[in-house]
Amino acid sequence: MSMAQDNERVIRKGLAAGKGTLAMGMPTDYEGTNMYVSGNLQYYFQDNISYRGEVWFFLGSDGEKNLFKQNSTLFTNFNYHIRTKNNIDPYIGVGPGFSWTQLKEPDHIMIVGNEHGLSDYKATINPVASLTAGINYYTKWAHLFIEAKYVHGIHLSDIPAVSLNELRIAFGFGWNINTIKKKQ
Amino acid sequence: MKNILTLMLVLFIGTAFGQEVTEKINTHKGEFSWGIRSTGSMFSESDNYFGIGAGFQVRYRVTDRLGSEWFADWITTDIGGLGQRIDAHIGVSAIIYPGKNPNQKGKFTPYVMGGFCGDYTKITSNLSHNDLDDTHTQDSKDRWSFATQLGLGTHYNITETFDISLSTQYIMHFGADIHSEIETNDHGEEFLHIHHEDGSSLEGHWFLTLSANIMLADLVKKK
Repeated sequence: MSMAQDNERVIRKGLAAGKGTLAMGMPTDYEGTNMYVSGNLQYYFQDNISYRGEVWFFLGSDGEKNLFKQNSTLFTNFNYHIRTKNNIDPYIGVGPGFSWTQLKEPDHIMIVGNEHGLSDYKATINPVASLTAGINYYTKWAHLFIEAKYVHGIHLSDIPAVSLNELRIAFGFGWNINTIKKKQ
Repeated sequence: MKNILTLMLVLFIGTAFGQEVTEKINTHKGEFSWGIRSTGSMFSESDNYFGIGAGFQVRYRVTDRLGSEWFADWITTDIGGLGQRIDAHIGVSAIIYPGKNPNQKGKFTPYVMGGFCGDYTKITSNLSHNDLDDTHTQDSKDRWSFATQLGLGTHYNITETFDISLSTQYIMHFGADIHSEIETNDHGEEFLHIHHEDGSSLEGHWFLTLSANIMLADLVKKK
């Protein structure tokens, strides 16, 4: 019975999943690595379509060019899941988001010019767009995942704009439950 | 005679309101959808700088050939590294499907769209040197306006009830004039000069929108 349950395909309409993990981001317009706590909640409206909300909370940057004091993002995504015969669940997704961003005050490398000493380096909210691709591997109650998300946007303040373009990578495990019983 | 008329009226009302509203099962009439959208601003009066925006939309299908899309967008544009423009839109577009058998799984459904929206625009310069008082200053001007839009688009239905849509719309703003120009100060540094004039003016704006939409409810009973 237990083996039968483990082998049952759980990817179908009504599947709800959630996860939280540590994640990293690699800016595409300058060198550096950003660190995040990432989490999302997802619901399968159809066997191959899910909708989810995500939060990426910025922890800091690794490397010399750590430009941002704050770079956290809320996303909402639709994902298309490529149907398989097992519980492996490759998917692609699109969705907009809003980033809450704030630059660190100078002594960093990329910013020069008189006006930068006068900026108040305020936090701003900036819209972003995203493309996602990943793979889940489900069991009845938990799943493993790995995904890549390309984020496109700019941080605007009172000094020249700074790119938010970034490739974010997350992996780990999450929990899931089928909210609709499978038809016999 | 009076009683006969009263009876006829009661029968008429009973017939009209007692009739069950049903439609053929293969119609999209009554479908209510939720969508999320990313919008690119291709150009405006602040020149050809690309802006990126996020928003959402709901759709209601009036008939197979006619739909409506109610949307909200928040778009930001970097103006040459010298300033920024924010555009917020809330509006509605009517969608007309000229082709036969719209929204078939695995097929494109082209459409034309047009409507109107309310807008908020704010242009803010970055800090720059002000020659008059020899200080660094920042300027900001905003306006509310109305706009009308016209465009083309297509749905691609991944399933019968989920689609990815790509559309482009030309938006014409009616309101106070607000625009910016890049100028050079006495120090030879470029800065953003923002112009704002009360009264009426026209401003063109071109958008490209990618959205994903799922049907949440079918509000018309079908047989």
